[in-house]
Amino acid sequence: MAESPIAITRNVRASFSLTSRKNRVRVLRSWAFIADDGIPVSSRGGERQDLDAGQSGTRRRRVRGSFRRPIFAEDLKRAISDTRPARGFKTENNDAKPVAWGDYMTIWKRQADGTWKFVLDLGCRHAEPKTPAPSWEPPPGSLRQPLHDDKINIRRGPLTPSED
Amino acid sequence: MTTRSTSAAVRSHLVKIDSEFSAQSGRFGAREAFFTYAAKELRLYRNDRQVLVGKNTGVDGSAFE
Repeated sequence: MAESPIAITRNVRASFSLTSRKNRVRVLRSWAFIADDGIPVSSRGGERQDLDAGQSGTRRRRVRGSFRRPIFAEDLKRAISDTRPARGFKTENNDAKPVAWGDYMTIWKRQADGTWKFVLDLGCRHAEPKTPAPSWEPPPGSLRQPLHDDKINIRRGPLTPSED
Repeated sequence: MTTRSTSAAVRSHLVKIDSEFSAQSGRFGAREAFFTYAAKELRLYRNDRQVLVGKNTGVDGSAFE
């Protein structure tokens, strides 16, 4: 049975974390986990776009920094909502039809006041699917109560009805 | 309450929040939904675009174009 994308991601992340901790040059060898066109981002938002540069002193100093920690920190106390299927995307309320389609994943974080806000939103846009996207379903066993009530059913309906 | 049941309750609540976010995005537009549900330290990733950091940058940025 093939692993789910989420399970694969968890395994790769665990491997990345282990590699980072085991090496004295902490994150340097973990460079292998970043795609050639990957862009690590610092906690202050500065991009590092020198991935194709050699392992020079400059790069080593940058790697030793903590700029990648905010993304992979274990103490973020985050909860990951599973990837949602392709959905329509409207920019404003007056858009009659979705202006883009894509697959999205959101990472939520509990705020100091107890509310949940998302701190990371990953989106990969693509062309409109030929077949309607299925309604998103939570993973089996993830809910204490099934989503039966009318309010929830309305919320789980299509984001934007097709007007074809 | 056990840790397991607490975790299940949190996850259940979070799924509902996520559903509300999706519903609001569909009804009022993604920009409005982002403004309501995004944290101040938001990081927004879209293919073929640089990452947008910060709620105001993410909401006002080009990710919605």
